[in-house]
Amino acid sequence: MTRATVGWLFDGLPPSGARRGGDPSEYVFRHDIESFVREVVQNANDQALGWPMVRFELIELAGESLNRFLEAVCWQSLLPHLLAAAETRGGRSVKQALRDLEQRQRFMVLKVEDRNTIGLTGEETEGESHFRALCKDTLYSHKIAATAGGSYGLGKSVLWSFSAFSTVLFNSILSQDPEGRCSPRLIGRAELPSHGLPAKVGRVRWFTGSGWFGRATKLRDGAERAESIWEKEASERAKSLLLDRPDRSGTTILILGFRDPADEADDSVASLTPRIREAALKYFWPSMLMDTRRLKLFLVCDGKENSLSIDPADHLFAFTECYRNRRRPSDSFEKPGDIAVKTIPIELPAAIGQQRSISGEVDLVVRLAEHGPADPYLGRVALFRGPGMVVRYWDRSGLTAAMQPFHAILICGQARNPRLPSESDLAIERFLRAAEPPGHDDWISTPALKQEFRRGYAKSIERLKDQVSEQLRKLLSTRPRVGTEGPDKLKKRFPIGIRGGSEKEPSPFFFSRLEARFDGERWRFQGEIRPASLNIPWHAELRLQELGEDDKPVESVPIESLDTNGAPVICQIKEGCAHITASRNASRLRFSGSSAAWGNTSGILGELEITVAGWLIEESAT
Amino acid sequence: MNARKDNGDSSRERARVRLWPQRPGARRTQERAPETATRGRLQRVKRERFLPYPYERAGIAIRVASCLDEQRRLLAEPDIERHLIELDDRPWRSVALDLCLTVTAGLVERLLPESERERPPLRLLLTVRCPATRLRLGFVVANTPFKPGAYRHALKLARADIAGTVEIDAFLVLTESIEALYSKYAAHSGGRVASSRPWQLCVEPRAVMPGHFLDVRYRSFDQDALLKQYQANLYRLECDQESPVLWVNADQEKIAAILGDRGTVGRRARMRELFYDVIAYGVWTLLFTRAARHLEDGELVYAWEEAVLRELLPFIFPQKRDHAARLRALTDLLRYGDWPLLMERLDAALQAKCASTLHMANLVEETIERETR
Amino acid sequence: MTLLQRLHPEAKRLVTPELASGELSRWSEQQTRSFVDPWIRPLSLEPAERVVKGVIERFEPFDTAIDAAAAPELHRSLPLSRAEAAEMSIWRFLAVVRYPELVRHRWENRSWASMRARFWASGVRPDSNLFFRLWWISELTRDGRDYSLTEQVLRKQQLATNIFVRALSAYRPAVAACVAVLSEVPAAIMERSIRDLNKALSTIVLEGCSEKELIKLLERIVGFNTIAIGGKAATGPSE
Repeated sequence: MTRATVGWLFDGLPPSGARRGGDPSEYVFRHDIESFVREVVQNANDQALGWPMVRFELIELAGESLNRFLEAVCWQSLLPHLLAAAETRGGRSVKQALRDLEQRQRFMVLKVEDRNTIGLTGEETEGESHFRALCKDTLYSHKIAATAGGSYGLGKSVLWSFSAFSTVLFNSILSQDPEGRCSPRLIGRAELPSHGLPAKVGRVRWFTGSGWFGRATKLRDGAERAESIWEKEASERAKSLLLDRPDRSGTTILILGFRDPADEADDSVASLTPRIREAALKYFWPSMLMDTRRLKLFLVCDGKENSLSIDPADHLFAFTECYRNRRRPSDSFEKPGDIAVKTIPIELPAAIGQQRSISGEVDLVVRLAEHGPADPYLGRVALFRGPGMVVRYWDRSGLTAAMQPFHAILICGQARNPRLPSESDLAIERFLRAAEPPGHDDWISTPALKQEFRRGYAKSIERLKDQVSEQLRKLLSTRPRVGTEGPDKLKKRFPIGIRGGSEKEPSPFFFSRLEARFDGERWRFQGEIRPASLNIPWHAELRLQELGEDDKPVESVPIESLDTNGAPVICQIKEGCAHITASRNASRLRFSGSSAAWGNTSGILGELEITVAGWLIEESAT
Repeated sequence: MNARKDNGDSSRERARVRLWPQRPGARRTQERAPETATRGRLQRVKRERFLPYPYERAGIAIRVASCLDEQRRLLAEPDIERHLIELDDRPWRSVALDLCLTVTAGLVERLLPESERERPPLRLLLTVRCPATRLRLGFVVANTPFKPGAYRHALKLARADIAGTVEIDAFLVLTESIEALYSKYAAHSGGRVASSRPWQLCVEPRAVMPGHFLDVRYRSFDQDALLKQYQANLYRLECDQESPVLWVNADQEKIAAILGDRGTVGRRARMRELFYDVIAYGVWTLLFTRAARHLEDGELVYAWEEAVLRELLPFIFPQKRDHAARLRALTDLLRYGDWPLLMERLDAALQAKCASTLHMANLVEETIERETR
Repeated sequence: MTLLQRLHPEAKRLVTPELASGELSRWSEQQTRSFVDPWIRPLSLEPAERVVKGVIERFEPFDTAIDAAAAPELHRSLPLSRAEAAEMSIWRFLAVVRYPELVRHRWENRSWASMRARFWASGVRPDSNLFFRLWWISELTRDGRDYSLTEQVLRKQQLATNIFVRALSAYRPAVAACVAVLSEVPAAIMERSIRDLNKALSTIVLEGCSEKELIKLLERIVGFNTIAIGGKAATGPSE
């Protein structure tokens, strides 16, 4: 075999002549960035051998690097199929991608690398294998463990639907090489709509749409297929195909022409990178925290590899706090940050072929939240089981009209005690796995449940959800504590206290320069009165009092004289108190005066208080 | 003039912390007119205090070097700006304050005639006053003959002896009578001639200033012997007393929870505002009619009645330009016994004050219109 | 064992004319249950109960001698720190819930406003919560276990009233000086002299004065007032 025999080979139509317009799985569940990230990370998670690691890198190819890459991927042998597929009904997106490539002379690839996973093990076509499941089969899952996140074999379809050319390349270091083979293993797969290419004159040769990149191999019946490339050649080609990877078991996937099919408006690196980060953290924080998994996620950004983590400012932090404190609830459950843990019993029907129904428990952990700025996760319950992927953020915010804000997690199955799951935890794990629809985004009644369990499975799920809601209601319904103060906002509706009254009127008088001194015989005082507005007659009173230690007046000090410096006012002294009546023309009054001579018999002279009071006089009152 | 200007050496004094716990009713207000005042509208009262001789307010400086508990752990950082030490709520048995009191030579010169400056007959005192526990302590920091300078004083107070707010002050006092003119110097033995800006030591976290608003409290009507008869109600106002209390029925859990919602946007906040309107409408009506009845009988009985009238009359008599005119208008209506007209005006006033129309429209927008969008 | 408890502020509604007059002897436990809370530490009321019973047995109703006899006993029976005793809720519990009979035994129900205050109001004035007043007067006037000043001042009701309505009463040397100088002077002179002492203290720092200095100051004030008021008002010593 020579290198020249490496290229793209597409399967011809089956004898029936049946064609296909695209991948049916695309219609089964949403294909957005979140589901993409969920699928690829969960795939790695399911295949973990130790503590898995997943690394995302978006690379934009242009100019020379693009040319080198296209040459390495044998673009010339792929292009006729792409062009032909682009002309079919199901090939619109391929057509658009080819047009973009031609116009912009650039395209994006996403490299997803996992480590410490099984890798693409298995023979080329024989037996059940990870290789076959991912690189050959359609709607076929090889995941055996009950704890596996995926189970339908539908998930992998996201890889092709996120490729504008429906083409994906794989390079894998296998945990166990097949006999006579040595890792790495390199292969590519295109999943195009059925299409025809001109063959002999006037004839068209039709293809199913599935094509593989690899070494062309002639089969016994004379047919030809592309098979995996191995060892040194694979390693060399991987470099030019941007698929090189460290020598640790796992798989590197390269998605050609990566874009978000649900939102193609902005497919730049700057836009896609944070969305990948968010989605990865949103669904896999349990797996990152679980002792038995310790999933590590990396994202390459501007050539720099960043390890993903949730910091306290992140909205998801509340959920991670729930998980960390699942065995340490707070002493109280009153203020934001307090945590309560409730164990909820769950009854499952017996599995088919067995007699006994299953009794087990799940853990609900609830953390009180702040009434803060918009938090998309407020009032949500994160549901997850053994794989540590959040199946759903279940919105329970509207459970009752009056609930304290919260975040909660529901820990089920093997996630409760990953190291030593109980029999019932394992049974619940199996049950809930079967209860997940193809998108793995809820626990509902599914055909899988019907196949595996006796009747009553639907009720079990319903009861579980009801019990979660009931516990939340009990914990979070805001009951006012008897004897406590009522709501502040309500109080503030009634500003009627001693210092209450919101009606503030500007003072119509200014009293200033008040002074008093004792000259050894009598008190002498002075000051100034100025009404704020002119043309209103006014009246003022002045009085002197001696104070006690407790600031209360002890004794009046009679005023004997008052001088108003010739101002147009009437002054009277009645019972030791000075009365000043001013006409509308008196704008400023400077006064000075003195008390009667000090004749206090006790010989005690106390602190003096001067009181000045002013009134505006109503016209009618004059 | 013997009362010097206000740059720290005035005989004029500002209000100090009260020496003695006082009942709310005993408090002298700044707004009440002297008894002889009979005509016109009272607009403003001002009071100022003067000692009969020059006095150095804030003449002495007190610095708090540290504030430690019995295990010499830091209890609080003194707030130098506000002269405030707020102790946190962790348990402690005693508080030790390391104080430094400074009296300058210039101060002593200003306080004493030249003949007395060689052997100043002054004593530097530190006082500790805690109104809540009626504690009054005095410590002689420096005695006569007094030397200006800085003095350290270690003050230790037991938790068992103090509560609320403790005031720490320093004074210079004359230790003997001196030959001097009142106009220039303090002359009598024992007279205080200078003080410090006091420090306040808050033993417990300070409560929000009471008395600004109506006292609103939750209570289980079902569990209360007197309120049981109203257990179907949402609230009950008790207002024939100095401080009215609005009891909210805690048994009405769903409603009470909305009342306690703290959000600012969304359906619940809208709903809460409307619930408040319903309560406010009823409560204001009760408060107002009680105040108006007392006014009709001759005079207001409780202090809150004045506040209620000040709050509502601008809405009832919007054309009147001040409170006195509004009060006269109300008195006139009451004199003619025109309660129906008064209630009609009150209704219009409360609708405007509570802004219920706006709150209803907001709720409609938040619920029905959003659903149909 | 009966323990000291706290009474909520909203329990003011329990202070009714019926309770003040004795028409209602006591609120039932059921009626007060929602208004009381345990106190910060268990403190048995048995000693206080003995004091209350003893006072009611030994003294005729409304006997002014009750104060001088009951105050030290009550103080001894309720070992509280000042910080603890500053909490009004415990005194209200004693007067309103536990021992309203002592309030009625000491004070004749002449005025509803005064009687209400004797159950509810804080302070050491005669129209204050009876338990608060007697305990605090003892606390302010005792010298360790020696309550002789407490007894002396409370035996002179008028003198006690004039002292304990003022802030100077929180300074023991001031109370001692007042008792020493004013116990035997005519009521009018006593009243005027305390008033003048209060005024004098607006310029003097009380905490800097010794009992001796205060006695000297008071004697000077009494001397002035005796001349000013003369024999006409000075008909006899205060009660």
